[in-house]
Amino acid sequence: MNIRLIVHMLGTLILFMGAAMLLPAAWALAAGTPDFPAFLGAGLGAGLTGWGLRRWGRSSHSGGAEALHPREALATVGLGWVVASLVAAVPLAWSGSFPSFTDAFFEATSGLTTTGATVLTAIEAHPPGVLFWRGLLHWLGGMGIIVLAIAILPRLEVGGLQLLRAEASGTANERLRPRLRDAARLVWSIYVGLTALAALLLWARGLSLFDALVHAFGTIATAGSSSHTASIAAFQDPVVELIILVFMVLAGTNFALHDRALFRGQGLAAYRDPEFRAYLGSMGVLALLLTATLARGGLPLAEASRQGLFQAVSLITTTGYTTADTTQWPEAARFLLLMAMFIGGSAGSTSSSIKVIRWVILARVLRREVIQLLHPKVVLPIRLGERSLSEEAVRGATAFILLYLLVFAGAAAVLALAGLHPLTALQTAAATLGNIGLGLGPLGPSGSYGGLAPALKWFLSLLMIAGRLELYTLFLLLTPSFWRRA
Amino acid sequence: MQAVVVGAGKLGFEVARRLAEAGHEVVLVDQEAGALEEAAEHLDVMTLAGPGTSPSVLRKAGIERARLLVAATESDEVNIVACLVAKRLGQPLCVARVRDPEYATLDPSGSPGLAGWGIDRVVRPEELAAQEIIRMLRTPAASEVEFFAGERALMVSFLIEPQAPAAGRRIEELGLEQTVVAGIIRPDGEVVLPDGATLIQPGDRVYFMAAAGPLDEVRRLVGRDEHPLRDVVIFGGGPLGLELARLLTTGRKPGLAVRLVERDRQRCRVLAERLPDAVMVLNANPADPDFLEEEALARADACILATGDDHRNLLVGTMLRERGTPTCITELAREEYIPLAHRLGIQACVVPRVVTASFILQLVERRNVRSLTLLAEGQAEILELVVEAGARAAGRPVARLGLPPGVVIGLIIREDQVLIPRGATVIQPGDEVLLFLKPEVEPRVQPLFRGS
Repeated sequence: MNIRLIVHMLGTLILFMGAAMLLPAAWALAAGTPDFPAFLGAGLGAGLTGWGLRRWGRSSHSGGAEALHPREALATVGLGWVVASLVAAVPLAWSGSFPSFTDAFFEATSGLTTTGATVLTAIEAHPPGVLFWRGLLHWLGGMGIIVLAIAILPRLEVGGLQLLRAEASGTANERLRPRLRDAARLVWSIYVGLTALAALLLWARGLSLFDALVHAFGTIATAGSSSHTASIAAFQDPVVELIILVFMVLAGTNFALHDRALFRGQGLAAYRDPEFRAYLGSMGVLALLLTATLARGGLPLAEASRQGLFQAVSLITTTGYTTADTTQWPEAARFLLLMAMFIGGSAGSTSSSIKVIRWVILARVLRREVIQLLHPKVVLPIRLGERSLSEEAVRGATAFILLYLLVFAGAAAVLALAGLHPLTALQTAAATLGNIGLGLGPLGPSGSYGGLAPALKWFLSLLMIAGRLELYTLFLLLTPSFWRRA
Repeated sequence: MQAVVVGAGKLGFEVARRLAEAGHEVVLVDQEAGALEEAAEHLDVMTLAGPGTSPSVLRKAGIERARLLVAATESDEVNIVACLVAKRLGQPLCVARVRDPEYATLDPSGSPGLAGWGIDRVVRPEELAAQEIIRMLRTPAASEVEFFAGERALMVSFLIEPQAPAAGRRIEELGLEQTVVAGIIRPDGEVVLPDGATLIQPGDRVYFMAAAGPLDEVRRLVGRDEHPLRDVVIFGGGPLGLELARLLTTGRKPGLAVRLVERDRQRCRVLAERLPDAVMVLNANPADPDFLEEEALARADACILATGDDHRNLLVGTMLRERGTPTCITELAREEYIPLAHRLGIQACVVPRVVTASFILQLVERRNVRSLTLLAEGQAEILELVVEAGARAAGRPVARLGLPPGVVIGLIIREDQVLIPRGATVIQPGDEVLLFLKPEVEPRVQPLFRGS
């Protein structure tokens, strides 16, 4: 294990986080709010610390590219997310909006992992620097801070792929460009483009520049923090809902498809893809079910379909925005929401949770099991469109689903034993592990996670990072054999 | 005509033999002295040792004057390069055997293959054999089917079983109106060119010619009903099995279920990845009786044996026929086994090498010959000719053509009509005629239809 190399990269990450803090600082300065010194101070402090760690780490290898082995890459990504969350929590803690560092850390982690769960209650009461930082954290974490670092920071040649693998979401990663750096840049430019477009449209629709930016960040990162306590319901504007709906769908789509459509001249044909079809299909089915349930609960059909569609898209893309107080929904509808938290968006997108593609693979595996009962000698590779998956990939996907559900069950058990109502425990575990953030029951849109015990907040923070890194990366760091000298 | 054949393997040998027998000067080029010695012993050809891609070797083989180059080595790349080199040195018609469908379909228009590279024809033995087998499947129970004149006319052969209505009757008693009995091959291999008085006996293989269509008349005579194919099993997942499965499932109505049996597990995976979902790939030993029972393979409408091993094909075919499979078609590497296969109840055999050689020969045969099909190990053939203006046959009635014994005019295709020839039918220039004949009379028959 090359500790210095890891420290060097973590230093880079801290420096980068410090630089990012200057944006909310600038916003606070412009607004003349008292959180300005917190962000400026934290930014400068993080910058200095990061710079120092970079220096110390670099002195081990004379500036040249050093081989980054899978072990170092995994450690960098796993630790990187924890460290970045800690650093991001500092200005929040200093701003005075959060009663303790625990709360600030929970909020920062929820931000970076694009969960969007909050400990704040009356959100509008907090200074713009804090609210902007929450949105910006979403946006930085959405496509992956490490990918971003590769895209814009001094070159990292060998081993970059290991970092990407450890951080990227979903199964089969398609290499978008021959050079890794170009691939990372490409993904980020699509990401920036989508964000700018979403912000522009929201702004044009009459939202303040601040609200437009924060919601564009929250939408494209499929994260879900709002600058309003009532989330999207605060605007009471179907056009705003529509804009956010469309951009949630785009952000939850595999960015490789956007690349093919925009830069490889395939146009709309790029979206003729089995995963994309399953992704849209699952949203459509969920929307129908929700609409039916809400309509049966007494809501007019138009209103039921408007709320049902938005909530279906919001949950499957793991965003967590709401246009209605879902805690007031009928039991059946809330149950559907809970189930939907396990679906997830597309691989290679900003969404989290299990992801549609793994469910598609699982469904094909089950179909194969049935066929094999009738034809024991059949050879049936699992196919996605034209491509057939290796048995390792298939096993990986099914094992992931199993692991995910186990972790979910374990986490829910911990929460229930800690005193949460069992149903709330289930919902909270699903919402944090899946980086959705939308609580149900007492933690719903109008409630907050603020009332939880500090230990539980740390636990949930860890759960969010585990979910964001698709479990394995973080869990590896917790195994002793990982740290043993190889 | 001078011809150069590169590659003295099974296909090259066969092509060289057929070309030499047709009276052409053949130079056979191969790197292996052993294969050349074998050829020099059995064939009337010149042999030349050396790489077929080498310009100096091709020059020595006389490529500058040659009218035909057939590249038939085992290697696609060698064949392609041999053609490219030959085209630089002379102007032969270049025919390359290319196995890999990726090469063969490089040209989007399809059939000319690598015409853009100067290779006039690409020949894929697996593809030709697969097409042949599929043609047989299209008329189940028939053991050979050939289409002529742009699929307007066809020839089918049936094995006459003892209970068939035609068995034991004379041809004139059959009351044929739309069909011609063009030839009969007796169980002992004797080729009979029938007249009205010829008796049809059980065990005969009877060759019918008719306008393409449902063939009701023929079916009535041989006592078999047509039913659509719903379930086909292919044994053997080699290149031929893959090609068959592909042809059976592309562009066809989805009602057809295809099962493909292959012994090798790795190969099964490759097959399953390349083929559409309509093909079920099974990993098993085709000769395992338990497996045949487990999958109820004998209940399939048709089984195709393409394991690449004649013995296994015959063995599995016999097992299937015993269990009641209505139609079995086998691939054979050695045509000597065909009579044995027929005795075992396997209705039809395809020898890819012979199919390919016939195809190549058709490409270079005389200009008015549309096609030449060999039947029963070459004891009989079907010649499709165009009657040229000024030919001796043009303007004469059939009865006064002066045809030698050993040839029968099966059908005459005039524009869109398919005519059944009577003695008084007058042959006109531009007609296509289908002849059933013994090979030895071919040199005397052809000139009758050729203009000066």
